[in-house]
Amino acid sequence: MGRWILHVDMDAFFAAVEQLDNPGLRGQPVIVGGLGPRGVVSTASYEARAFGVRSAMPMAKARRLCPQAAFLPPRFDRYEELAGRVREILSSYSPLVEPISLDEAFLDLTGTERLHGPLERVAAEIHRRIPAELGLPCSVGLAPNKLLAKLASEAAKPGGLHIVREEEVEGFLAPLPVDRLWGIGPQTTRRLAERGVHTVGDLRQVDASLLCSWFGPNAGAYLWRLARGVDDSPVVAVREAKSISQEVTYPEDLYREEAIAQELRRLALAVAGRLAEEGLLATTVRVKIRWSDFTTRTRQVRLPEPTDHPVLIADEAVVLWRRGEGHGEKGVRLLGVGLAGLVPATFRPLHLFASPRLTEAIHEVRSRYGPSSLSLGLDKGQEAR
Amino acid sequence: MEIVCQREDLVFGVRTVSHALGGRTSMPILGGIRFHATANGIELGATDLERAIQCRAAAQVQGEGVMVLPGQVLSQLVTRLPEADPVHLQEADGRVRLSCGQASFELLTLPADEFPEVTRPATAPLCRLSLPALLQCIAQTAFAALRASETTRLALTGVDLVLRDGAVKFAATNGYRLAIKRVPVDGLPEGHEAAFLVDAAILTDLHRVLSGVTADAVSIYAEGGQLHFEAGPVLFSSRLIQEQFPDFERVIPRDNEIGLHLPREPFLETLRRMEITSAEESGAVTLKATAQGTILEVSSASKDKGEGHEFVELVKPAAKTIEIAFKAEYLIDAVRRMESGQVVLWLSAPERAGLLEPSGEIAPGDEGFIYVCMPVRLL
Repeated sequence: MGRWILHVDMDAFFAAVEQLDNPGLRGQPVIVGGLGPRGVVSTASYEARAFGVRSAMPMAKARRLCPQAAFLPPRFDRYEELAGRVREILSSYSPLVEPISLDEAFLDLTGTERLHGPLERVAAEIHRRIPAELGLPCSVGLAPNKLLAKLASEAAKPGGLHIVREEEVEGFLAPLPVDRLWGIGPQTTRRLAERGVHTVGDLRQVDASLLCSWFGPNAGAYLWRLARGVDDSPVVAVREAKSISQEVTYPEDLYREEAIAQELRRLALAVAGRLAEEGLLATTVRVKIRWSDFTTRTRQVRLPEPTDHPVLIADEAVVLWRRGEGHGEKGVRLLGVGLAGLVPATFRPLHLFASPRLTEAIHEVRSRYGPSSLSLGLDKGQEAR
Repeated sequence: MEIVCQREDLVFGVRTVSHALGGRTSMPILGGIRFHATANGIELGATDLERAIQCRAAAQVQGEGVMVLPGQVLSQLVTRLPEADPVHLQEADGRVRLSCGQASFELLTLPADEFPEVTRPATAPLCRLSLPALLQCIAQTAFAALRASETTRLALTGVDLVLRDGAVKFAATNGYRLAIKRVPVDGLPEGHEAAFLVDAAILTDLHRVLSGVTADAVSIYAEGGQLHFEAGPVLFSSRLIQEQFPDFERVIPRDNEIGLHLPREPFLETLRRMEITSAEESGAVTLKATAQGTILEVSSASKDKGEGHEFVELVKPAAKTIEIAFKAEYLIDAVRRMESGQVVLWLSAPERAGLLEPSGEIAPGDEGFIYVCMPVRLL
């Protein structure tokens, strides 16, 4: 029996949320991203895209292309909240929900027909419910695997629903340019073009042994499968976070030791908060520093026990930075704090000097009043309590 | 300069100081062993700038002076010297001729004026204690510190030595467990209080070095920002960690009512067995005792491996019912370093620290030892 995978992609998600929360922005070009001199565009609304504004474009360029747009900093907490509601809707159809970013998720509907009826109808219902309940547009693709489901939702953009049935796969894929396929980058695209292969249909015509002679046995076999829309990767319900990190590029370089330490504590508190929200503990603390001359260092330390204690994490982060070389003259352009070695918080090693009650209190205040409601104001040399 | 000494004395001296040889290529001189020859004999010295070891040896000396020999070569050489006496060392023109029995070597020397200054304390010792007591202090505490790879905060990589009220207290912690050993010392002036934070890895080296020394007592000196330990011919100096050690007295539970009195060896063996099926991430074992019960149930469970259960007979009935989990490794670390026939684990609640100490007939090596261990909360 074949599988049925649904892919939901929220259209211009961050910009759409801003337009939802501020009706004055509806129908207007909206650009969300870093607003500093070095910022880049995270999301542009369709109105702004008409002017040529794209994701990952330098903000300065976006300002030139579309000066009349509303330029807004991202509000991740709000996006996360709405993404959570999308996931709730999805999980009412199947427990196998795999979020791949804030605005995208896979849902494995295989075998749910008896419960929810024909899957074409289920896809249509999801496609209707998300805009109706959240006020946000989305594109939905339904297909026999993840590769095809994602291509289907792309084909449905913006705001549509596209279903690819087993017998339609070949016709659906044939006209697509090869670089639309997952895992085909600019390099491979160029090498294929040199050999006259431009579309997936062209790729399908290429003999497997020829593909292997061009790209080696592994990549060759992979391309052969892609050309046929073959993908058996499973929908993994909870995506295991390999690391949690947050970094900030500062509009002006930081020089003062106390300001840098304060920033690291703020970042540490933020990542510790996300750790707690995801029910994880971390064993490795990392600090990333980029100086004004763009030299970048990452330092890390492995703790004796996994923790989500914000003060323990912050103390290690600050000392990791302080004990490193070369933070004299140069200003700091970017700081990041990351956590790795993540394990599910099915246990909690209690610390002699750092009370778990503090962790609980911090998480409670943050969840009630938002992540910026608290910061760690420990001075240099003060011990964790 | 010419030195004539017994093979055994040279071997002991070189082995002893080689614990302080610096491996750093940036300062080749730190890879050298300094020989200081005087009318009274020779003194060998080595340092890696974190620690310095000096060792006196009897020798006949003609022409006093200082020379630095390559430490690696010399330590290899002394282990393979022929069984013959005496050993001759003769220095001339930047080379040293070493001969022993039928073997002789011409060794290159390092520039003696580059060797860092190694000093002997000039003041009277701060206090004295027996050598076995010092060795036991280190053995029962240094293990509990954080390794340098586990933190960037140096304070917890050290062992805090607190001198007060005629005793020295060694304390080390990694934040989750705390080992404390208190032994009486001689000669500490009344009312004198001092605390020194010494790298646990250096103290472990001190243990290694002094284990081979025949002496009854150790004198401790605090001078020049260092702590010096002198026993017999050996003087071991360590730099201090300039950080604030946490106030550990504050976290020692003083009124835990539930005492689990256990036979030490059987308890240790049970812990080692139950550790095998403990969850990989937490390494936790659960201890369960019921009010007035005479049995402690130790168990562990892991998603991937399965589970284990075992009963240990309590020496006395438990006062109250308790169920608490600890990282097995942390309990094993302490129990295996004790020597008494019995131990007692004092508990109050599943989320409060436990206190482990020797009980029953307390072995001399266990006097003054307590161990505080935080539990693991299993969710």
